[in-house]
Amino acid sequence: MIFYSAIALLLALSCVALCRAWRRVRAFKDFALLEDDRRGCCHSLGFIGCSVVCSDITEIKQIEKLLQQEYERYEVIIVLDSLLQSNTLHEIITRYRMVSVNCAPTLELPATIRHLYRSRQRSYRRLIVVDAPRRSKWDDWNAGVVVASYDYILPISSNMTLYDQAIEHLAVALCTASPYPIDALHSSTSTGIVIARRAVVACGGFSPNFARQIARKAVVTSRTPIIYHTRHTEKIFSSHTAIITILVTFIIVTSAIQDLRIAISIALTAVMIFMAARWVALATRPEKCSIRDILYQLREIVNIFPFRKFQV
Amino acid sequence: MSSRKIVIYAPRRSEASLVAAILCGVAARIVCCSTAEQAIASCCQEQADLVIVVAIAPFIDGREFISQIRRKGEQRPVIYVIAWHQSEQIVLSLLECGVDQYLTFPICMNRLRMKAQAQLNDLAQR
Amino acid sequence: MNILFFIYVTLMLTLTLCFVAIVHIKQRPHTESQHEQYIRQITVWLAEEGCAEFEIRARNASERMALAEAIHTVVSHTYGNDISCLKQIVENNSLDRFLLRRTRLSRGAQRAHMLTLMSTIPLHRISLGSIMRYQHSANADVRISALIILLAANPTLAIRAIEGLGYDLSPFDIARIMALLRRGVLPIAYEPLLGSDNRNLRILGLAIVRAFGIEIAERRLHHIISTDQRPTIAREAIYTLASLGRPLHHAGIRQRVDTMSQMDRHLLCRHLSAEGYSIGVVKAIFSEPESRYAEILINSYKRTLTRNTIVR
Repeated sequence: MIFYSAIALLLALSCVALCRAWRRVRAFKDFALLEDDRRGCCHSLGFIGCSVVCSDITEIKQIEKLLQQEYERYEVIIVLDSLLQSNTLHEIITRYRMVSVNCAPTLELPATIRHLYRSRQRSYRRLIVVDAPRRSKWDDWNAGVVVASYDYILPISSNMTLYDQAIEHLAVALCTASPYPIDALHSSTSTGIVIARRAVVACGGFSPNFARQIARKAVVTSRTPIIYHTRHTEKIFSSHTAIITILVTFIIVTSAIQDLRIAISIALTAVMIFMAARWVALATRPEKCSIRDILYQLREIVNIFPFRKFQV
Repeated sequence: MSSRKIVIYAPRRSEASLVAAILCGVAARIVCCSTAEQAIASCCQEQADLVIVVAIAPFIDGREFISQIRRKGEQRPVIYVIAWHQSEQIVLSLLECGVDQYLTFPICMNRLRMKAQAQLNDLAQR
Repeated sequence: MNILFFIYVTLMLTLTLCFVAIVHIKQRPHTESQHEQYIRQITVWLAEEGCAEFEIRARNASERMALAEAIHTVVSHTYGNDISCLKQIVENNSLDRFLLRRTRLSRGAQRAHMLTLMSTIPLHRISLGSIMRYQHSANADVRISALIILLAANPTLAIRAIEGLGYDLSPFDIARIMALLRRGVLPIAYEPLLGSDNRNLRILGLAIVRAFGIEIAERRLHHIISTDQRPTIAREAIYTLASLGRPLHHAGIRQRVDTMSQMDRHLLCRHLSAEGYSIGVVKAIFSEPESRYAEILINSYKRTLTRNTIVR
């Protein structure tokens, strides 16, 4: 009886993991196909614009990568604390020839802004730097929203960057989503959620409970790949992976005592799911796939709570 | 082998092949690069006469592409940019950066070939 | 139980080996080099201005696909090409029948991609008839790709075809049609489009005015703002005027703005600030609270001359 139950459970887990892996790979392959078709025409779709608001940015390379998006109605808002990150701020201001500009509070959101910087050079006009006291990433994002020019906000933090042409694909997804306009668009194949600026203001700004304040009906799910992690934080490994590893080892050892066949089945299932995660990781980032990317995809495809509410 | 050199930098290989094929009648060696680092290395190794960039990202992300391939005060290599954007802001940004000519897709093959040939002839006469 | 165990182990081992094999199969490099070779051959052939002596032949399915993609790359990136040369290549390799077959057998993004490839090759009437049914597809990408084929094949009937659509064109659909215009395939003028009462035609006319910077269309835009009862069209017309940098102190604009929701007025405020309009223009259109909001935004684009802008 235990053996049949174990096999049934393992089979169910394998099916879930395989379906998820297949859907992710399919989504990336579809977008690779559509990339050519969209390349020549997605410069400014229906006046849809996106402001990427960044908190806790420490590397110039990350800013360069963000600015490589070629969509026209797009800007990158970096929020820094000049007292804590004076070197980074100085480096950005020098490199991008930024000057301090007028900044008065709009009172839309509770955000404290000390200085606002824009570039003197036209080619860097999409970059905005906000000097605000650092309290949390939510406060940084709120400070960014206050100065954002465009109608959709994409919040990101350190170690995150955008896929190639992510903003173009996002703009297409936003303008073809039903109902249009929408409050938020959530990616099912990567992290990332784009929120309408008016929805952020209506909820009183970003906060730890922000996701609960947006009506589920007003969130559209899309397969658009938006964000990938350049360096996974240690939290992923210290909490999730350690727990899962210990759990799997415990199950294998106890089942080996009970019935060796169950232990072998569990081990083979784990290997198969790992290889599926490797396939997904290579399909999504063929040029730079590390063990951490594979473990990240593994976590995504075996998540046993697929219907969790989206998170910011 | 001609002493003139044209460097084509295009992140997408199909576009690099297309531009290289259009320019195959021009009296110059053509080098295709798929990354900015390769293009810069190619220009530093041996002075290029014409650089054609099929993207606008190198000019708007802060990597100072032009200052890396041109010595200060010099106008060589001549830089052409070919992209899909038509907005005035983008075009002015590129011209301010030091781009010599901006062409939009779709391009006329004969026109691009003749422009490149005329540019190289002009450089030869100086 | 042992049989079940062996079946399960075999299944897991097979799946694991499949994933390992998928990752190691190297199809892409060969297809890509074939694609580039065909681009070179087609470009040289078209440059000869009279079909060359050599033939371009595809021997199998993957070469036909590479050839179709090469034709698509050349045709979508260039204009003024000799159609008779391309027709010869298509006929010699039966590309239209091949792509039609592939379209029938595929789904979703694959089908949309096949249809996009067909939009750039000269097609027979029979093939066009088979494509009509894809206009009613549930997939938006497939629908617009089918429409693009029909517009490219019958440019003189384009206006009638767009007028007869049973759905609203999205901004992405409009952008795809604009790409055809830029290639010189569609002989459409903006006046009949702006003069039409049909929603799709008007939106397309506004997109043409914006894309080509047609300032002489200003009067027609004012007429649309004053008379069109559909809020989306009137809003689009105001945004078009703003993108042309035209004066906005017309009485009709003020009346139209008064009928907009607060959210739409805020969006317009931000748009006008980003387009570089002065506070005087904004005050003529908006009420006092919104003017103050716009003033803050407009001033944020200006430098504070009295402040020391050097960060020490």
